[in-house]
Amino acid sequence: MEIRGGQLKILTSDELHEIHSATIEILERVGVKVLEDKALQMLGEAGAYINVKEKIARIPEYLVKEAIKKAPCCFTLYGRDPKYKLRFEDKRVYFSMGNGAKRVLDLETGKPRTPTLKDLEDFFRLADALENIHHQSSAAKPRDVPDSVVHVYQLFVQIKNTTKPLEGTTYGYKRAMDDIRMLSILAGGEEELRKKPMVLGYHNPVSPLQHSKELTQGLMVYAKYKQPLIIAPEAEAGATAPVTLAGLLVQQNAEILSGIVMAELVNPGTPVLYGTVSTIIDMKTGTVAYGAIESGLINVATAQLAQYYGLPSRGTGGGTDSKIPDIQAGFEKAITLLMAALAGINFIYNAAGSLDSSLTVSYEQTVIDNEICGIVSRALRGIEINDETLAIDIIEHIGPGGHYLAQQHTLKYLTKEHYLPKLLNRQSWERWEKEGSKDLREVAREEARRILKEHRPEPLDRDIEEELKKIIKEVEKRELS
Amino acid sequence: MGETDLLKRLKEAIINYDTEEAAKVAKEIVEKGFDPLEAIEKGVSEGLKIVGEKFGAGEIFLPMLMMAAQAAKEALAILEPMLKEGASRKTIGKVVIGTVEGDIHDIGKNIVATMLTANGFEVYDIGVDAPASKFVEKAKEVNPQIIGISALMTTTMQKVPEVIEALKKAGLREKVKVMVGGAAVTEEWAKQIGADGYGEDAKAAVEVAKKLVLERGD
Repeated sequence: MEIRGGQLKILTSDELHEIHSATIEILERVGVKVLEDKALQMLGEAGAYINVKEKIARIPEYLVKEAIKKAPCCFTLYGRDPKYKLRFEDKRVYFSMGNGAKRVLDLETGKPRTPTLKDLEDFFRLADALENIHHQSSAAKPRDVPDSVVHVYQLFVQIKNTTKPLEGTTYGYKRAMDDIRMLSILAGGEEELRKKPMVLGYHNPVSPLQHSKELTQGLMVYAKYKQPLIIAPEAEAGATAPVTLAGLLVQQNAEILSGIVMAELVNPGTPVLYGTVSTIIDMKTGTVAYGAIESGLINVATAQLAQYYGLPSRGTGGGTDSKIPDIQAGFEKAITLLMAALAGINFIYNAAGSLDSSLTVSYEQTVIDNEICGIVSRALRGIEINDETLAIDIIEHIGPGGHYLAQQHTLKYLTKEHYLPKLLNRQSWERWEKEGSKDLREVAREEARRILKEHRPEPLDRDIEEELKKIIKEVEKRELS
Repeated sequence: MGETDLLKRLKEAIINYDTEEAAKVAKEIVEKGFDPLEAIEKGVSEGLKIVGEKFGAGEIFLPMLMMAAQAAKEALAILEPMLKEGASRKTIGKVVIGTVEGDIHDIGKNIVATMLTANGFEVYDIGVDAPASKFVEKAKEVNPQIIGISALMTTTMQKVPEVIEALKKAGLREKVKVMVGGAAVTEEWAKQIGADGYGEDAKAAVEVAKKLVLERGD
């Protein structure tokens, strides 16, 4: 069932235009630092004013306008299962997993420990079974695999354990190309992959106003193979961006637009997502505050800016700074997720499983977040008004003092109109006590256990698996010998 | 204005994170020929100590701390060159800090550097994208008690052991304590690669740094 946002707006169209104007001033007067020389040169040749020594590119507005024109309004991302398609367009909303945690909360003990490749496999398998999670992502960074080859293991394990669309590596030419090779096998060829992209790549500018060498290289590879690119800075208001959210939006906009200019210069028509991971820095501790309400606001504004430019968007929602699945996690996740979704962010990342400002991941939190995504999806579907739902005939039929519980109408519309929660406690006190007085975390834990025990993703074609394993061996030989 | 008053004003300028005032008073102190070491110790260091305590107690926020450190920096730039030959201000220790090669993230490092300064350390920041050799060079130059290595991403974390190796090769490893930091770093990993300390946030980094200096005993 498709869900669309866009109900929530906080900026007027005049304000959006002001932000755009201010951004152009920054791009033209201050510019961005581009640490990959090929990209800097490319910008210079296209008409930007470049300072080779300082590695600065000052980008005139017309280049931005051209890039936005070339970038597609919409694109489709495919899962291993051909019927699994995510259509990024307008204000359609999708939810994804959290990513790259350095700690996992053990499912049995609840205690934090180091993530392993097995954890990664289990998270992919878990998310494969959760109906409200549309896109996969490497929940944690496995520490039992050498860093120089972990990207191919991560991709392999994704491909094997889920049929949902995937996430790839953009850190440097080599790794990005390793990914493209593996994906081409999965897609049935490079041309096929170009026509039906299966992976999202991430380009995160380094605020303020910088594009790192390695990620720019990755951007260039992904653009060459027309794999969609998320261009998303993580600007921190008061630290790596102005403390004012408006100033953050301007700076962030400059970082994103310059990234899009590069992608479209490499390959016109490359799908890009206008994105944000930005939030505030907590001024008491100096740490990033993912669960902050300001993150919600930034995401709403980002959605509006993406819509202003006519581009698909990526945001961050469902984040929390709480270390465990507790009350703080509950409301921080719900609020930030709801705001991003109501704004119509097309791809909401970090949605499921993450805790501790995305540094920790939890199995039961993933299951709880699936529920939150379900609840938010229901909010997005709003209230359907038509002759049938206005229910005049039934109201007349039942009349004063009757009830609706045994009506066909009720049966017919129940599952569409009411969100039916899986995990939430709505029982009477006595029943709840009888069943063990469990709190949500415990209930979610049981559900996570059940899914991990029972769920088997669609098996991967044997031949494809063999080919992928060959590439892993090649990469290992190259990196580890 | 008498010396005591000027020192008081300098301290106040730091506490009120007033960069202009701090520089102004520092200049006056120099012009009047008062003892720059006293000024540094009773004015700047005392002021920073109070700011550090207030921040630790949650009474003031990070930007105030950073601005106070800025004010201190300006005052020191005027006072330090006036120190007598051989005289140097008392500090808890010297720290060389930088972000590894291939990584241009520095906000965490900058916050740590400032907190260390506010807590009485003398900090030499070698910036971002710093190859192992740069760490070694600076260490040879300033003889720090601590080397702080920052890496944000799991990919650039792999450079940290290279810095430690370079310190070993240069015969410096025994002379320094190595601290590591960055969002993807864990205590376990820090131990694995042979670092002496790790702090998960800036406050923890300061505590660890203080402990390490005490351990050294010098």
